[in-house]
Amino acid sequence: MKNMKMKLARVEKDLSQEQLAQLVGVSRQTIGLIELGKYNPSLSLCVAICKTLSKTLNDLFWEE
Amino acid sequence: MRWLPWVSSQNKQVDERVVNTQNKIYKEIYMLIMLICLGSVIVKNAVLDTDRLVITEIVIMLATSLYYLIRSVSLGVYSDAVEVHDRSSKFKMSTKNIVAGSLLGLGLALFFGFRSAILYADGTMQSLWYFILVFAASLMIYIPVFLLLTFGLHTAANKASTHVNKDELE
Repeated sequence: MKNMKMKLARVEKDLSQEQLAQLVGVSRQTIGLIELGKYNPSLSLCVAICKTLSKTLNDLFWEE
Repeated sequence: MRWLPWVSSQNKQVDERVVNTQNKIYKEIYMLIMLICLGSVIVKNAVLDTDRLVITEIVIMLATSLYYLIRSVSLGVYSDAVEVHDRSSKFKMSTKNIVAGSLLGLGLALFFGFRSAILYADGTMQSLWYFILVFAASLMIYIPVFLLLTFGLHTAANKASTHVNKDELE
């Protein structure tokens, strides 16, 4: 299942996948795969992404 | 990875997905090496009819297995794996170890029994007698040995690993 919330939050911050990847210390492909729902990130990576995008874990990773 | 500091990458930036995928590949490589070593031992024994040339393969198989056992116990991962396995599997890990040890002992006893009957006996009655004798003696030796190696080692490792975990949580 695609993570559109994360994609939107990244676009809101005007960050490319490459830039977000650099900020959280992973490769661009990893960010791409998380957004596509093909990779489940660890909690520490989720927190790093949330901090960078100024969102909470609920905002980006909680599915109703 | 403090155990091997010269291959450690603690200070480097790492991508967890890449590391996870690499670990999967390393696991496959380990299985591949084990299979190659096992194949080599079987082929050398069958073709060359000697067991003197397979020491390297045996050392590789034993050393890597022992390394895994010691490391997983010292990090407390062994008992965690057992706990998860026992929770989801129909049979407990200890039960599986008892069965595996007994089957290995039984298999080896059958092998030695048939080998003696075929190689050293003259006539059907002597073949049967040799088979029964060697089979019974091998059973008495190898079943306890393999039970000690599988069940005994598993129980000891599980206890030690649980102890490590307990210490870490306190």
